[in-house]
Amino acid sequence: MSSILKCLDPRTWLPGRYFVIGTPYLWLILFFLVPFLIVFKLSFTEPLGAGNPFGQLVTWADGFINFRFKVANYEFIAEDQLYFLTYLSSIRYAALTTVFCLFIGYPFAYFMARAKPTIRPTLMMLVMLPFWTSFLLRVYAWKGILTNHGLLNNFLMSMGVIQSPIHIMNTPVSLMIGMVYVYLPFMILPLYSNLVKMDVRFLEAAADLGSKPWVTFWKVTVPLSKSGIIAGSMLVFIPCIGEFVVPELLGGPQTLMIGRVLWDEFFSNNDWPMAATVAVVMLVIIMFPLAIFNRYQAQEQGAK
Amino acid sequence: MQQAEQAQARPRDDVAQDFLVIQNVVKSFDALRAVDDVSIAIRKGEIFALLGSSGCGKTTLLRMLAGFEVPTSGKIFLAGTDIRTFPAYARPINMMFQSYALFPHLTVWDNIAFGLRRDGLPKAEIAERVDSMLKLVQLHVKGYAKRKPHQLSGGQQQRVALARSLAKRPQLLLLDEPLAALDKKLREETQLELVNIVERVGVTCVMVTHDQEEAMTMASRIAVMSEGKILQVGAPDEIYETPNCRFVADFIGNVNTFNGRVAIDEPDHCIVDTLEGQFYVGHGISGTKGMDVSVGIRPEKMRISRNAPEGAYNHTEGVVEDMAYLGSYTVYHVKLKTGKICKVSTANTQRHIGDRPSWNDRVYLSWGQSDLVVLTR
Repeated sequence: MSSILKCLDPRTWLPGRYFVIGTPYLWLILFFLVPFLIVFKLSFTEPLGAGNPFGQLVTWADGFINFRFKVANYEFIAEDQLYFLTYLSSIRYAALTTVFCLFIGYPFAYFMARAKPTIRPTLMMLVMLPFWTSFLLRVYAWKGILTNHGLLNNFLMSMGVIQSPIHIMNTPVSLMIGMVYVYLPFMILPLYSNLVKMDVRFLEAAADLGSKPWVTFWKVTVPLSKSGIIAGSMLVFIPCIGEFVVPELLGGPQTLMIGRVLWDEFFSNNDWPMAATVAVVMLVIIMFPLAIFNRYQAQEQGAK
Repeated sequence: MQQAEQAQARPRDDVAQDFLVIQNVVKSFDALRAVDDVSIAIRKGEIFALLGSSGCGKTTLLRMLAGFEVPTSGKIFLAGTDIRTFPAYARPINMMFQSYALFPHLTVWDNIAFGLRRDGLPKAEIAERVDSMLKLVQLHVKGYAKRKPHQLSGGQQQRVALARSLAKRPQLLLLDEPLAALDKKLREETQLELVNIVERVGVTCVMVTHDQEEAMTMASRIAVMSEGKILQVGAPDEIYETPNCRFVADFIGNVNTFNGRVAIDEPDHCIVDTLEGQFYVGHGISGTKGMDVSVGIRPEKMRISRNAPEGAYNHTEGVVEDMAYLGSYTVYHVKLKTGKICKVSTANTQRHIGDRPSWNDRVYLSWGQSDLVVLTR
């Protein structure tokens, strides 16, 4: 009896509730906000050279507190064309990847969602199956397929389609193939979960009102899956901007992306403050689509 | 009895005059025959209801009319054309869906205009038609046109759905459980309003419902369906007063049925022997002497009294087991000497009546010779 009363007493379960709500916040603070603040702080320091990649923001000297607050890194990024162009090309490749993923992923997700309910789990499994092997290994495998004497060229030459190997490797084409391949599941899954929930009565209502299947698709299915399209696009676009591994392995000199610059600043130049600045600017760039997405979601929530 | 038979089996020759003709339509899903050899003829301008419990095939039949299902066999003629194989978008038929299926991403205005735009009508005409539809369902004020469906109440959504399905001026309007999503009070108000609008537009209408009151209020004729088959077609009063089988008698309203055997079979009357005594039926039946039949009596057609009625036929006695006062009428549950419970209802036409039977009273039940229905099926 007393245990029941205890359960009913708000004072006993309130801490539990705070714990449940607090856990994700604590997680975000510890593993996102704090590291970000460290990076943010770093971006205002100056490099000290050998063995000591960054200086102190606040120092004690002769009983005075010295602030060394440098914005030079930001000025440098704004002035140096290289950074600007790299950001631009990162955004371009990320946007292209998103568009390709959408065009391949939408029909994919659509037919998955319209498949018989009994085979849907299998199809879902097949989409997720690549995650079972190492990401790095899969990207390396593309190298084997796309190089001058790789699987693809050898096959085409043996078939007599081409005489000499097509140069694909280390071009924007190989980069795009790799990026689309890697990020396609992130587009398919949110689209699928959106499309599979769609009420077929809307499609029937459209047909009933004289709409042919193709028109129904554009006028009803696509608008109703808008939130799935946005979610999938975010999931592809945002990590694509900072992508390092795929451009490093499949890209070439023409395909400089910001992830590569970040890596170079950190590990080649050992200039941590500059690397931190590049990272902060990248985050700001990513914030824009996220903010749009959030606003849209808030509207959707309000609509329901 | 004979009346009911005639109502069901309309002669085939005048099929050609009917507007919508469903001929021997069968729909099978694997082993299940959802619609089993259904033939109905529906006249132009009438409101026709398919009535039955869930799973009786009425919705499947409606979906075949709309074009969402293709009949396994049989024909469907609309104004003389066999539309059986027409895709849904090519049929001059519009449907008001159960719980409406209004497009959530479009405004009320765009929902109503959806079908008109698919027909490629000029903009000015679309605007004119949508506005007249909004007026028809009385949503032309207060900026309802610009709202999204989720910003409307259930009753308003229902009207938008009706406007959308009427906007294309269909030759046939299908209503799938049109009022099921509304609460009871609103449903009653809307029933007649819906009929008024449909009649004003003059469209032929087939509705599906499981609610017998809804069917009886709205429809000019009703088809009672069970297990994929049509049991009886007729006007509401025909179906209620002269059901042609036990299922229909039991499904529409309440009925007390007594099993018995035909003792005397004359052209103008018959007598049925039951455990509750002899029932004198004031009309001839299609059965023969010695046949097992059921006799049905509606609760409101029975009289309850403390005094023994005269005559040899058409009364019995029992004890009031239970009574329910329902405002406009009172229902008595009377336990007969055989142990059977019989329902009797009396209208409360006066506010205070002194001497009424009460719990555990011994009472007599009696009925007139024309109040009986003899059911052979």
